[in-house]
Amino acid sequence: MEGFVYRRFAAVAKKEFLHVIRDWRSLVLAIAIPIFLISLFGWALNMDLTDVPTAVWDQSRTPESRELLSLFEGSPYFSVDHHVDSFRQLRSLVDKGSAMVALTISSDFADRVRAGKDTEIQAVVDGSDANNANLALGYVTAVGHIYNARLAVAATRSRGLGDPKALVTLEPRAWYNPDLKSKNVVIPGIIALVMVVLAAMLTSVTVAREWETGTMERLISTPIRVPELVLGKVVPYFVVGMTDVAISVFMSRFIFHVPIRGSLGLLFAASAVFLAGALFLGLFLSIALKTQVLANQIALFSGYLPTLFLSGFVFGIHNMPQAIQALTYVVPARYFIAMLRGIYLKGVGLEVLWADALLLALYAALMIFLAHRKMKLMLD
Amino acid sequence: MNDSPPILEARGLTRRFGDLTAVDNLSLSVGRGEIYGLVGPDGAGKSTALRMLAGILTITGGEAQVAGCGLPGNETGVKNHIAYMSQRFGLYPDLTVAENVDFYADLYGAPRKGRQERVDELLDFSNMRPFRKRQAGKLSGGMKQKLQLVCALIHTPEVLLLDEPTNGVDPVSRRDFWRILYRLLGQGVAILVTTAYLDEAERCSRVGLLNQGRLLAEGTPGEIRRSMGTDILAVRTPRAWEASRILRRGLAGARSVDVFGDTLHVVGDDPEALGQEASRLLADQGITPDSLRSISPTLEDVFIHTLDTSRGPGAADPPESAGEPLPASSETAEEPRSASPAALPGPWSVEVQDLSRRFGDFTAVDRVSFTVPPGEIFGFLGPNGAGKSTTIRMLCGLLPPSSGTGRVAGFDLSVDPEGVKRSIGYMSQRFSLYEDLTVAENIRFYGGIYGLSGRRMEERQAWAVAMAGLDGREDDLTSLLAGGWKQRLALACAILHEPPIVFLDEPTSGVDPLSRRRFWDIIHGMAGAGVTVFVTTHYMEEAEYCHRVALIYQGRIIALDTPRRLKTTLTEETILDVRCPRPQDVLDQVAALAGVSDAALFGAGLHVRVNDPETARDRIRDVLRQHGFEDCPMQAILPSMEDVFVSMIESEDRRGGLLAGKGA
Repeated sequence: MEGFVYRRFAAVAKKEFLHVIRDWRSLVLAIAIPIFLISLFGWALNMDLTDVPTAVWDQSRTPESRELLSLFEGSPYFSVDHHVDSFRQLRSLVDKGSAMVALTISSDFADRVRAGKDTEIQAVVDGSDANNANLALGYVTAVGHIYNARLAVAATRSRGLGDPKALVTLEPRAWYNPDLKSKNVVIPGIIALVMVVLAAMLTSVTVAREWETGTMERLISTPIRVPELVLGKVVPYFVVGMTDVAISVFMSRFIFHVPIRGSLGLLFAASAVFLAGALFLGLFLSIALKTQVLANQIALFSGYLPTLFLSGFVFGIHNMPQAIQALTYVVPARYFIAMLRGIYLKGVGLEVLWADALLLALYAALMIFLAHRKMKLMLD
Repeated sequence: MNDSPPILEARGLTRRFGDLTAVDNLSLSVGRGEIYGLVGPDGAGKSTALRMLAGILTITGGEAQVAGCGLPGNETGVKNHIAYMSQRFGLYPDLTVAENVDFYADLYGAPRKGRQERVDELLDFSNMRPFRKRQAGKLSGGMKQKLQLVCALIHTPEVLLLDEPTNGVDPVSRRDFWRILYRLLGQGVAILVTTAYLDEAERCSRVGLLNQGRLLAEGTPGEIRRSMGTDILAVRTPRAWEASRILRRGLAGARSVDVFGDTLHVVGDDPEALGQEASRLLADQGITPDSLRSISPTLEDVFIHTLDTSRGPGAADPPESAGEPLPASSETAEEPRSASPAALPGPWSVEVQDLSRRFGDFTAVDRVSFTVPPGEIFGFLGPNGAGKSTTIRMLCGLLPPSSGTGRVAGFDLSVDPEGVKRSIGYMSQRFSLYEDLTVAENIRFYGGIYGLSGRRMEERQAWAVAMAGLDGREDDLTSLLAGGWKQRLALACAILHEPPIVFLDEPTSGVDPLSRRRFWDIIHGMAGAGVTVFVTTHYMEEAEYCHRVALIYQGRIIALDTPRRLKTTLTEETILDVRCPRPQDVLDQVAALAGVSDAALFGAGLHVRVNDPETARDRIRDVLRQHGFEDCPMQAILPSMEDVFVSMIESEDRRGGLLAGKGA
């Protein structure tokens, strides 16, 4: 038995490069996919809520009620578009979806406020979009608190007691993402998504294609060895994949202005390890299934869906049922996304992320091993 | 024969797939400088044997030594010393010729130094150098095969394993291919080749006849020919098919009657007596044979004879029943013009005037004109890429012509292609059956497409099953059928609706000689019933089965006539048939002689094309004497279809070269 012959490995790699270059449509697609995905998720998957369409039925029409409304009007989160005169009108606006929040201020509002009595205003929220309804309710409550605080200050002043001293104010501050911009969280995750989609597209067909066209029979009759074939086949796709990482990082930084606080070197190193795992998974499927269509479908299915749903990319892992949470541990993107967010937003390095990095490396090693194990240089 | 120890030796090689024993206790050996031909029907186990010897298929039993490495066990070692060509195209269509060669050179570890020279030499020798930069997928079939061979030879293997390398390759490219093989023999390479062309088997040092995984006969072509023990009666007549029916019915003492081109081969114990009886029988029917003599059997005679006897009575594929299930009687006279005309408007089945087809700048078919009467078998010959398939696709209404007019079954090609499609049957190179459907499901599917239903569907299904010889196998998956059966089933499916015209595009490509023969029985039966048959083929002896033959080259018809008249009138030169022990040794020298315009290996000898037979004879004799070959039989013969084909294409090339020279 002889060992690894570099020249045969290089010959395979060169041949695969030629395939990639000749098949220019796939190559264009490989470059277009990251651009497309980042644009799609960057602009469309915006989870921040601003300018909530709001309708008001102000029965009070007093300076007090106008002060309350001015708080809504001055907030970036609300856009008070409609002033109506009946509950029926209010309701029809919510029904049509023209208003998401409907406020009703009762006619005795000003009297009760002046008298220092408990006062209620009614806020109806369109609950058909639960996520946004939750956010909107939170905003309404916050505005209510601010108004209460103002009333309290005014009350103490009016009693001649001067400015209140011991009023507790909560100053919330979101670390790592002070503006709580969802794109800062989403876009780093897209790098993971881009890579699994690409890997599925690129390597899952390479070995199967050779079985289907009959070139594999010829190839295995030459002195080629398994590692030369398996590694040689991945090289060009690795280059394409890393180019896509560079495109993704560039777009996130300069088009979506997501800051990179940590080490750019670590970012690319982690991407390389994750990409290797994804590429060898595709290659393994291609070797095992021997048909292009099936290998491609399964690679896409097994890569894309878990990365989208079970990695913490879109849905927080903490909110998932226990069983599903357990499942996320075998999704490599989970560790990669943790690393991406660590590097992008927290600016931390391996001293914190070593466990994720280790698991990613283990996964890649496992896939490389499986691909080698499965590749047989025989027809049966 | 070769006395050096064998470099490839198999002992008791066996391979089973489940219950099926594909290769059964096979023992054979090939020495350096020897070429061993493995022939046998489809599914005989030829490819399986080759794959095991190439170290890419697990051996169930037995062992082999290949280039000093033992199998099973040292597959890696074997692969360093051999080259293997499978039946499928093993190169990368999106890589250029040079890139493919370079890839294999690296895999085989051919040194970089001196590589360029070797590649150039190989490409020159195979006439492929001008195509270095062309992508392999855009080469013609013949060139693809030559390129595969070049890739296999880049590291000078000790053993070459070739699985039907010339399948679907035109005669001109096949000659190139064999020229390269013979040169390798001179360098001490051992070659094991499987082939469906028995004239190729005749050129091998030794031949093995494989059937159902077992070697039925083995030896030099001469030994095998003699193994039949008796001479054969050869009856030459232009009405060969008609004569074959008469003799099969009436000639007592004939064990078999087979058609080889325009000649009948009758096997029996006493050729002399058979000859007298045969001429009497034929004279009764008004047929006077051109010649009637006893000859030594060809390899194909032995092949067919041995297979017939090994199958015994009641075998699944009885050749005698061929053609019988056809609707009309096979008694109909064979001459096309006297055939009962099918219900067609006008006197012609196919009528074509200046038909052309262009793809961009490329003119695939260039102003082709001809007419075909009902009941004629019209053969279309030409090298790969000459425009045969394009013409057939236009005639079938699948491809609109760029210019010119044509009528098929009375329908205008440009105006009513759907009418054309309704009245024809079309069978393409790739048998268009669904492999994952059963025999009956395939038939019912095509029946449904052609609008059959109810009783008529049942009738036609029964007919199709009988014609394909698949009784009792209706529920078998089509993928399980061997090539010959698949081919007949595909034909049956194409003519379920009883069309008056049938187009067959290389219907016998890759099918073994026995099945091919049975297929032609069916075609002649159809023509006898008034069906017009259009057929393309690469097997030159099949061209002789046609009533008329058109030779198409570079999109134009360069000759159109009966096979007989093509052979007699169209070559001004004489063909000398030279029989000598190792024709490949003298080929180059003979070809270079003054007065010799071409020399080619043909069967077990040479065909030499000369202007003046008398002076050439002496010169050739001198060359043979230099190699120690005395008293080699040499006679002027009527050229074969292959001679005609090659000579006409070459003279066409010369004319083209002259024109190009003037233009420059």
